[in-house]
Amino acid sequence: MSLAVLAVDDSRTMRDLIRAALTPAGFAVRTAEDGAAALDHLADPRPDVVLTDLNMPRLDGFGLIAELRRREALRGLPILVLTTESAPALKDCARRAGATGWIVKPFEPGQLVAALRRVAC
Amino acid sequence: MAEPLRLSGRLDLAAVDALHRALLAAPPGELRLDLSQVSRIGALALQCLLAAARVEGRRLLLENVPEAVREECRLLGLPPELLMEGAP
Repeated sequence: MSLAVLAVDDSRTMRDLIRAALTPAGFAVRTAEDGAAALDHLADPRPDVVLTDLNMPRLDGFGLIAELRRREALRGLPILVLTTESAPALKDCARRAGATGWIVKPFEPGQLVAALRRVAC
Repeated sequence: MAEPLRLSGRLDLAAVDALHRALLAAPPGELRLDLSQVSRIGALALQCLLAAARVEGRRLLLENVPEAVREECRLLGLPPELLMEGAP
C-alpha cells in the first residue's frame, strides 16, 4: 500500500519537485500551499506523514506543527520539516514543537524517500 | 553539440519558476547550462538543477560557473561536481 504524504510548501515549484521525487517511489502525494491550507487536508484520507516547509504565509511550519500536536488524533502523525534553514536553534524549536525530523533543501530524491519511509513505516 | 542554455542574474525565489519551466522544456539527453552570467543561486534553484540532473538518461553539464556561485553551491551542500554526477 502506498504511503500518503501531505507536502506543505508555499513554492509551487518546490511542491512540483517534491511530487516528482516521491510519486515514482510509490507515494501518494497531496500538497498544500501553507499551514492553513494543510489543515484542510488532514482528513479524507488522513496522511501517513506530513512534510512541511517552515517559512510560509498565513500559518508557518512551526504553527502547523503546534496545531497538529494539539489535536489528540494527530499526535502520533510523523512530521518532517523540509527547509533551507539549518540553524541548530531552529531545529531545536521544531523538535520541541513536535517535529519528528528535519531535512535541509536542496535534497537528494533518494534521501527524501528514505527519510519518509523511516518515519512513516 | 547543442548550444548551452544560458542562465543569468540572480537565481532566487523570483526566478525559480521560470528556471523550472526552462529545465522541464529541455530535450532529453545532455543538458548544458552556461552559468557565466549568474550572480547568485539559491537553494530552490539548486533543487531544480538537482532534479534536472537526476532525470533518467540525462547528463547535466554546468559550464563557466563563477567562483561566487560555486561557493554558494558548496555552502548548500551541492558543489557543481556533485550535481553533475547524475543519479546516485
